[in-house]
Amino acid sequence: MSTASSSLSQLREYSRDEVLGRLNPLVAKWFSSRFKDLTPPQRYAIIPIKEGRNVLVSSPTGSGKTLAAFLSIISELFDMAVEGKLEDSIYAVYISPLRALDNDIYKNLMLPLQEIRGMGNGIPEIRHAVRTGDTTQSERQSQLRKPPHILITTPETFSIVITAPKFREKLKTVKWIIVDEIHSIVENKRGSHLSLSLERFSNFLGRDPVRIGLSATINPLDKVAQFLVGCENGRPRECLIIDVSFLKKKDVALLAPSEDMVNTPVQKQSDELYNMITKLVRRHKSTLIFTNTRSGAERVTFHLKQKFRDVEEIDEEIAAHHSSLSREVRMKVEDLMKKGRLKAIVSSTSLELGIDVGHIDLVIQVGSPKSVTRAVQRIGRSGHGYEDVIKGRFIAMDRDDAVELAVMAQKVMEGFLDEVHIPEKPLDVLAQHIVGMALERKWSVDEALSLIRRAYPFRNLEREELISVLKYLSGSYEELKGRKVYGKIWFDGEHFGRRGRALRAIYSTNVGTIPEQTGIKVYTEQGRFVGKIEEEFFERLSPGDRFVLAGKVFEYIKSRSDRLIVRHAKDQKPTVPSWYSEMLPLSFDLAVEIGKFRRYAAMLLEKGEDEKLLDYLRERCRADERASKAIYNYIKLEIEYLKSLGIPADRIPSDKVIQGEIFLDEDGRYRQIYLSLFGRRTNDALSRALGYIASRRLGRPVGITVTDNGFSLSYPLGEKPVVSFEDLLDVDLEEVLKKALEATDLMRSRFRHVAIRGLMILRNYKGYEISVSKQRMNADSLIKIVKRLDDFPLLKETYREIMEDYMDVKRAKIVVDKVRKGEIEIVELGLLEVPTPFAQLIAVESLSDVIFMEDRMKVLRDFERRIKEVLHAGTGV
Amino acid sequence: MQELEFDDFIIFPYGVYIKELSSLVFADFHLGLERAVEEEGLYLPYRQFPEILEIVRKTIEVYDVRNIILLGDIKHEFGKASDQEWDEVLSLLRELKGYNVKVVRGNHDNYLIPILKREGIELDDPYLDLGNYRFAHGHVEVPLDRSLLMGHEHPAISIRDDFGASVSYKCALYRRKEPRILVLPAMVRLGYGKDILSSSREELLSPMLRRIGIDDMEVIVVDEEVGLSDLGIVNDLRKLMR
Repeated sequence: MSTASSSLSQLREYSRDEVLGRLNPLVAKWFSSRFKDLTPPQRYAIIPIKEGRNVLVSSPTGSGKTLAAFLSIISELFDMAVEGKLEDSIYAVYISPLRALDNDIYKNLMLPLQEIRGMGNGIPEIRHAVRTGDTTQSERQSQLRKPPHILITTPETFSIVITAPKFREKLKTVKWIIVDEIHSIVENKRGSHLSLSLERFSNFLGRDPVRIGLSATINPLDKVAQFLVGCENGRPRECLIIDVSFLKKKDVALLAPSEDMVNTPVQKQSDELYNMITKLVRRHKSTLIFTNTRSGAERVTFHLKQKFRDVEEIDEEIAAHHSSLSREVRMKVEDLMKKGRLKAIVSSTSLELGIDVGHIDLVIQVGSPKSVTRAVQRIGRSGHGYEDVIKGRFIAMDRDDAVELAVMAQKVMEGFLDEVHIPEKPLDVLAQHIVGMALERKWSVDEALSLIRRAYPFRNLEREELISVLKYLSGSYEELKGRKVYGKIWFDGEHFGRRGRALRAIYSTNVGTIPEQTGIKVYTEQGRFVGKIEEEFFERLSPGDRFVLAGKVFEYIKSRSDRLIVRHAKDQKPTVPSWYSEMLPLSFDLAVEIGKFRRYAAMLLEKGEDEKLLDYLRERCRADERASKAIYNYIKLEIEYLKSLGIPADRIPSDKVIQGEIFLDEDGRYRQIYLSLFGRRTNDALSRALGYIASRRLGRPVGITVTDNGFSLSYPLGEKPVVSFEDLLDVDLEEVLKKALEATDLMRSRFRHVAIRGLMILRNYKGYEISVSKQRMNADSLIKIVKRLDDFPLLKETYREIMEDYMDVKRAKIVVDKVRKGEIEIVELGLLEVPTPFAQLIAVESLSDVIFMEDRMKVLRDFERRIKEVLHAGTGV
Repeated sequence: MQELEFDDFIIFPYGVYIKELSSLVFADFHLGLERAVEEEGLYLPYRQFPEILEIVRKTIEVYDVRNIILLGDIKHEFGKASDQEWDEVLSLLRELKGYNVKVVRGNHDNYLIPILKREGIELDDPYLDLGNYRFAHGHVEVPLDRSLLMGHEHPAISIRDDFGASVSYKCALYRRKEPRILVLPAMVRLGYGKDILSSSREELLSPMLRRIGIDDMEVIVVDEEVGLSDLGIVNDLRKLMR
């Protein structure tokens, strides 16, 4: 049981009698008639909430979290109701990131509120209602006339209602705020956005309501608690942390479709994969299957249905569930699952959020989920009752996957969790809130600054940063002529406020952090939906180009108004890099653990302790025979290969060794690969920086490929490698990265998203949804223009988002530093005929991106030369 | 200043000088673009006009100029002229006082007439003849019995490297044989234009180009950073791109 340094020591378990004794008698009676006993989160949380303490509850699904949060609240509301003190006002706000969850909560509260009321005599009704983007105009009006006592909403809608002049008066009586599924928003900008809404709300109330956070497993809890409750005068507010996430027993195992994942034909492995899944599904009542991509979910569903049809003659018991499906389909699937009519749901990510899908007795994870925390969150969906065991099966898809999952399984059993990354003072989110604040009233810079700093992500906001956002929003970057239309707020250097009547409409229709609807849909000629690609990527495409999407290669045929038409280009190689990837990155913490494991495994094999390694895999990593053998063979192969090159086994790539090698690929290009086991986010930063230095030296573009286990530089035809990892030791990594990013599609795409969030590009204006094609201003020119402005905050935020959230420049610096100090060694193998086994997976990956020099002169000259050679060859010209 | 001669035309970034007529020709300014896209929720700094003006000024200093011919789409907004358009078009015309300014109508130039009237300029629609040349925007057919200079198409070219990354350049298109046509690059400062090598015939904007096709036209890169470069015939370049 953990306690944060910020909490007082009243954290203790309360007995059933203690708790029920403090509640309203009707509520207590109702509870006793329905439940045998309190669940652990309830035993710890109910009384502190009643006493007005901020609380963060971390526990798995099905542990009674909702009631732990609501029981005290309902009890107090009934006290007020009985005493006739209940007014037409809102007392509690429940915020969850998912509308479906809001609907669930609404239903779940309905019964208790009705039943408890029914147990008394003439008690006034305690009203609860949902308010989201879907709420109709008439519903909103009736909510204004007769406000619910409990408001159920989303982060975006919350930020709108706190600004609505009439509705927010009804919020003045709020005593409790519940933030549910907090783990799913703390690490992205939706969370940053909510944290500011909460501070604005407290400021509006003139007091701090009780904040209750509900979370699945996450680490570190004290940071999440600080995120929930914010700071006062630079010090975190007080929060009780209730961590009951590890009380459930775990039954975890790692499976593989074969023990030789390289030479066994793909078809056979695929068959075996589905056989394994089918067997597991049949042996359990209801199974949740997670894949890592939507296309993966579709494929698994398809094949499973086949298998079920072949044998049982039914296939309606299997269904897919992911965000590309329409809402109706998803709701239908959730409903069927709740009713117990589905044997299995296959999902990519959406079920991670806490929708109630009834009893699940097994979670299968196909391929690595890339972080221990995510693995625990996913398998934690199984075993609904508090006594049930959490049961999860990992299935490896390739050798690296197997190694990853082995370490993951071990860490899951050990209770290790990787750390969550919280975005640091995102200025685009701030811009949105400044507009919201300006709508409320006039502010002084100091007042605004002190409010903003109370939100955890913004605790370190500099005054100059706030000023730059105010300057941007007020159009102060412009010459006088353009100013009056450009500016959304007025700012005189000391104070700011609203300007223009359109501002409220702009705010309410454009608030939010998810760049919805971005992306161009891709369809086959037959009309089948393939996936979405980023607009910047689309800008680069020409008919005939081939690229990877949803794991397959497609050729671009033509484009219609809002979509791309492609055809399958099976067995052909892509001609352009697809940096837009659905894959989640491997967490740095886990990557380091995997590195340590590889070192350990190599050492055992070196000492001839093969059996010990196999035992370790079987016992500690819960690997089955095939998976154990597969991993064992993999590492053995690598050691033998290195030995043949004269490299000792302890120099195998690991957390202490980065291995470099070079080879000539089948197109005759030099590939320079670094096996750097630090996760894709760190490798992205390292590879781009190194790629930039290389392309600067050559004056030509260099391609980069990034994976969780390393990266590679692809040189243009005719060029030899001109850099080595050591070149990173003498540079300022951040500066180099910034330059490297300037010419990439990644930069353009992220800038567009930041510009949308920061209200520079509106999605919705004067009632019209801006079509995707209209939004698609040539990002090149846009960035060129804002670059000329001094310290433009949205550009600054784009760099920050890419370097800190998308990549991990901090960890990259740590790695480089360790190399400098000799704590990490670089082993250079030089030019090889064939890449080492570990490097092979990187070698066959297509390009992630190209570091482009933007030396437009050189590109043109090269092209002119080509023209001469090809077209005028033999003409004597 | 960078320039390249093609018969009687001198092409520079981003216009054409015809010595015989002492005329400068420009196309597709799209002034007022920033204001127009603001209506659509995109907030851009108002940088186009100062940059365009700078280019025009510099060019006037270099060549012996009597006439300045604008090939349409001077302004951007299809509907009524916005404040910005009134402002910037008038400022432009005032800067060019002292020269004989001719304006040919483009498809974006609705409601341009009142602005031009302020400076006593008539709008030529759909084309203007001067000497042996015809000047038009290009959005409607004009008779091709003399050499034509037009805009409208915003031609550009995208060059790929062997990684598939591409760089774009504005370009001019020149058809040497009869009927002679010179398509000017667009002056507009946002974006480069449409990649003409990957456009099918139906996708060309000008009905004349659609009818005649651009296969025989020469592609001339026109770029303020890189200069000018005659890349050759469209047909040949298309072959190269395979």
